Amino acid sequence: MATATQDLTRFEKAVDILDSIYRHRQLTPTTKADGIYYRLILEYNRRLLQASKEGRQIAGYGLMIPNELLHAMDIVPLHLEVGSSLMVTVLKLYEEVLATAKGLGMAVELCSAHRTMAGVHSQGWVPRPDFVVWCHTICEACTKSGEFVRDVWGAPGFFLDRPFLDTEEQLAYFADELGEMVAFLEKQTGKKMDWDRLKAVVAESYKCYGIQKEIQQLRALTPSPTYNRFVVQNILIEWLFGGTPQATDFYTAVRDEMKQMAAEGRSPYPEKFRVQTIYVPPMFSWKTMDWLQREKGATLVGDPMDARWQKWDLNPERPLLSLARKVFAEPHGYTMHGPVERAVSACVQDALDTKAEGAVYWAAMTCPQGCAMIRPVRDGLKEKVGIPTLIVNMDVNDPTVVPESEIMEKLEGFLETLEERK
Amino acid sequence: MPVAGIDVGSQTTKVVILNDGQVVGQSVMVSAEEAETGARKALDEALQQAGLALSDLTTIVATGAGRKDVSFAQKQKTSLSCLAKGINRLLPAVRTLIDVGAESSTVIRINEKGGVDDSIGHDRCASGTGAFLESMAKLMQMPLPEMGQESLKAQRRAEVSSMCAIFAEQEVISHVHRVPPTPKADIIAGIHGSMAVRIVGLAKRIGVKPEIALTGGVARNVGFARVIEEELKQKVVVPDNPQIVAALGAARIAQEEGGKQ
Ligand code: SF4
Repeated sequence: MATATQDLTRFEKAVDILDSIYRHRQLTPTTKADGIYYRLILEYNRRLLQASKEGRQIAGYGLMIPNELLHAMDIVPLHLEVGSSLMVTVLKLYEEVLATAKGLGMAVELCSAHRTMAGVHSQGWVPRPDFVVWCHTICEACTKSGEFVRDVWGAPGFFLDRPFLDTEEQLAYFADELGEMVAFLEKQTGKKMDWDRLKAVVAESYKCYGIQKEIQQLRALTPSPTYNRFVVQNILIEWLFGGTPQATDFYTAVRDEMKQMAAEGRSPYPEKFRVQTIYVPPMFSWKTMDWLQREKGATLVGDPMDARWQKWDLNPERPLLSLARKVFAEPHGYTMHGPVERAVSACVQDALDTKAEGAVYWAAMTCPQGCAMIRPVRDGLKEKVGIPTLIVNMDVNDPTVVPESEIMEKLEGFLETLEERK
Repeated sequence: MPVAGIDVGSQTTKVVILNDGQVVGQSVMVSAEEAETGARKALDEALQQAGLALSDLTTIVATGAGRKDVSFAQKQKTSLSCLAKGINRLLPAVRTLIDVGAESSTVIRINEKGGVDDSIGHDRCASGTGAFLESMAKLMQMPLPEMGQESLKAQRRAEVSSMCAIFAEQEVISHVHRVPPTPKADIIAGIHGSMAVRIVGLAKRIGVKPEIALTGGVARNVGFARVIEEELKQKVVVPDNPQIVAALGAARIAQEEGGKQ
């Protein structure tokens, strides 16, 4: 495979755009949490650009790799999937990037998030990672993509083996695997892990988890004091900043705003429908989330696959074991890695807790995992909660697959159904 | 009080006018390039039939893919609600509606009040839609309206894929060129069967409750209606004018809305 040559022209342009968005937000502020969100996304990318210019080491890391280890070692992180998708969304480069992936022999049936990543990395459009860490949570596309990025940059890599279940034995194995990852990072950076620092980072992460749980409970109130766009912001902040003080800042601001609204007994917009959102919504259309809430009065009150944390037991003296437990408590990994019963029960329990009247399942058409779960989740919600589920076929990154207008049309019909069921 | 429902579909525009709950005018026209122009034309024809003028209408509700372009409608509703309301007026005992239009097929579970309990749609592949049937008619070199009758002569259903329109087309070509060729009627029955398998699979996902009705342009095809019955192993009712059900539902909603004003 030919090695990629770094060309940061586009990345710089994306950072400029993120900067203008942030400045625009400062001039026309909405909420404190919104402001923090845009600042963090800008800072994440700026830091990468800066690191690349200064020759500081950058780690490419895939979905479900615990950020905490990179953060504790002060390594500049580049998220493989999210980093590429974010850039492509900001610059609207879908066609170009997906055509590149096609040119590399990637079939259109493959996960579009990973095709996007392949297109971006193979053209050298993001800062070059000095080394790559990845794992097979949550799918085989993740497994192959890590290898792809490693090879395309000719960089060393480490594959983290995450066990399937979370028995004590397997958690111990996973903690050992995390130890191996630390050894790899130490070798690449020439620095030793400061274990006290890691303990502090994990403790910070646990604090943030507590806030996320509070948010989950606040969302379940009637009316729900939540903004629909939190669904997308939550995914990006957790994946890019999980375990950092920045994430704590963001979630604290979200929680405090929610508490304020709850005290006033209100939601951001008059609430007509309470809807559960399942899986990752179209990242190219935040407008749809806002429109649902502002114009249709549909609040996304529950998000079982991305915001419903399982119980995470912290052992302050054993940071690696604690992180291993966190990976299994994290909602996306917990529900997506299987067995499918976990996803079904998370959706059912969440619908009951939040009094959802219906659910919207974002069916990413190139995602075998997500699509395979549609039927059991839909049946579970119908049989155990008695609510309907709308299946929205779409692509997370590419608006040409199913356009925004078509998505809105389906949602509108679904809300009419919910109206009639009242 | 006269009200109108307009259904602007991708291929045809349908209008129903109700006066004191009775259908007094209806029309079906090929959709115009401009949804609004087509809707106005179809409405004029239905108004003429009813002996009414536009100014007599108290409420107009538009539905269908082009509904948002009908600026003279007071309200827009999606096809789901309109189909449910429409079939409830025609056949109140129907609890499952299968609507097969030009570009999509939808299955709706309906309650006693004519409200939607659940629904599921299929619009990402031509298989299972009117567009698929139209392309198959071209392939078979047979006018579309004759396909239904012809298929009733079939001895058996030829094997045709239900998963993908492209595969189905290749299979049909191979049936035609086989030596000896598969009888035309069997191939057409196979085509209907492939659509029916797909749509019934969809219906089963939300549960099929009797009575069952079939609507949309494709419901006029008797052969297709028969294989749907065979696949469901249940009786399926096709209303007299299956194309106008959504427009009728829109008119009913207009009536209810008028009452609220
Ligand atoms: S969208 Fe599906 S295929 Fe793609 S990374 Fe996520 S789980 Fe894997």
